[in-house]
Amino acid sequence: MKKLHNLSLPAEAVSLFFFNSKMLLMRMMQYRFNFIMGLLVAFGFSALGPLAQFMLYSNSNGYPGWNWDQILLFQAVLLLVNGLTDILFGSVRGTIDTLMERGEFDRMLLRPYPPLMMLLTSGFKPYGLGTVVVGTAGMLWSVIRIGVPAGLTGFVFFFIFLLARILLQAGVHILYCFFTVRWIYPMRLGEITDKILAYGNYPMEIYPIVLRTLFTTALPFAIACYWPAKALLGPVSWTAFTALGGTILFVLVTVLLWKHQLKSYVSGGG
Amino acid sequence: MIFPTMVLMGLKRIFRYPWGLLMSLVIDPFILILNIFLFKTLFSYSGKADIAGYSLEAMVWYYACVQFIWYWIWNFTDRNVGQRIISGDFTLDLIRPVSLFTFELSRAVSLRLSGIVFEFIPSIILYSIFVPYPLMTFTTIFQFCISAGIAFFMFYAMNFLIGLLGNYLQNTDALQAVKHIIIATLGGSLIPLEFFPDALTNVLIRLPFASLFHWPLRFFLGMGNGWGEFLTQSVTSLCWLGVFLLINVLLWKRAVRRFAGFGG
Repeated sequence: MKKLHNLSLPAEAVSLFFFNSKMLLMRMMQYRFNFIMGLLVAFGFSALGPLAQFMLYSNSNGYPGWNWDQILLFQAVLLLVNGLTDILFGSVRGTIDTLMERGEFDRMLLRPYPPLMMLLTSGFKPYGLGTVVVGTAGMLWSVIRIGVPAGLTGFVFFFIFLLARILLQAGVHILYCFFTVRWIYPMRLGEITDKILAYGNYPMEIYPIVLRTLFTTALPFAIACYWPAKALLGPVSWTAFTALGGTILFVLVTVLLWKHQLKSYVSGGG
Repeated sequence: MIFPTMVLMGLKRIFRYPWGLLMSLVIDPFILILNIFLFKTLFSYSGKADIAGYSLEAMVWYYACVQFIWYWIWNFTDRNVGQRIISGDFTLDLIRPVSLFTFELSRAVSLRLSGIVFEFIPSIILYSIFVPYPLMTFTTIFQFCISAGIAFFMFYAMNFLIGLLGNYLQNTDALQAVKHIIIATLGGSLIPLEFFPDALTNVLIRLPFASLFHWPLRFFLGMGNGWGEFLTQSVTSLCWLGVFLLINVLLWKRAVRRFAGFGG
């Protein structure tokens, strides 16, 4: 790990992420049956969302402005982004929860890297891989069926929004860490963040115009899935880019909150 | 009379973290608003008065009730027992005067008592104010409480069973995830079982998982066929509970014989 100190901070973060991931994989491989079963179970979990959507869709006329193929694409993109964020940050909550419950957070402060960097780079969760595989396969299948009307630009925008979604998830986890350090035992805070983010799991057309405008711009829930899917389905409007701005602003605010909380943190140990 | 004392101790521990208890007052409005928008759109776009027998209000309340049932049944027993086996703390549980089953049950009861008081009751008031449900009566709430109470014990017995399987699998994390998938699809927490094809629905409603969500939800929504169906289903659920408890007893005996602890 010595050579890491010669790199810039982002590069160090990437190296640290891979190092932590490798260590976690080695630990998980000690329980091989559980690990393999966990990967298989991830496929099952991935199927739940599309199954619910299919049942709702087949018993109604679906959502306005979205046909069945487009909804499938939407679901596939949702699985892909959820899988990716799970792989990158899936263990962050568990890590901070354990550190705070056991009073071990102080150790983080003694390490050579910023605590937030340590936390975010320890988020690897391999079970998200199954979701990514299912999401990618579903996306490719949908793209083959309906094409990409926006062409290459559509793919470029798709990847930009995908990165923004990952950034948004990082912000959500920073916020979670902030509250956990503040409250020590957050109980169902993870559920709250999941429920709030669930607003991005549906086409924005289900919301009234005021909320739709808010979610597609300043409160960037639409970045979760709507804009990435829309980018593949056709040219996106300028409002999509205000959602990008909203995402960056949100992450900056969460980082400021974290720094503020860290200053007022008082250790329970001696 | 040690059990009530253990429950009281559990409650004291939970009350040390007051913020967590108030979380539901934040979570539930989010779920409520999302479901209202979602189902209003689905209903208005389809032009139907009901979907698979569920009206707009019933669909909104269905997913509210899924959350209510979690307030009644959720516990960490599978995780707790599994971790005790991995860490070796299971050895200490074997020499305690109170069985691990009773100890974990007291923790689960504490957790759910606080859940009912601080989550279920405020949430049901909140929902009733914003989306009044015409079929909700004291009878439906009573039937719901009884069936959700049975569901609590059944979920606890399932969780304890999964935890005990740690003696054979070492790590039960994946098995816990499998349980969630099964409950979501076969129990009715993901989507009402009536949305599946009729032949499949007829099978699913007879499985034990339906006792966790499907039946309590039906009774709450006033979709049950009177007291006759309620009594029949309650007895059926109790029989399934008996089966799970019996498996737990048998597995516990085998697990204790198999388990080896070191120390001293």
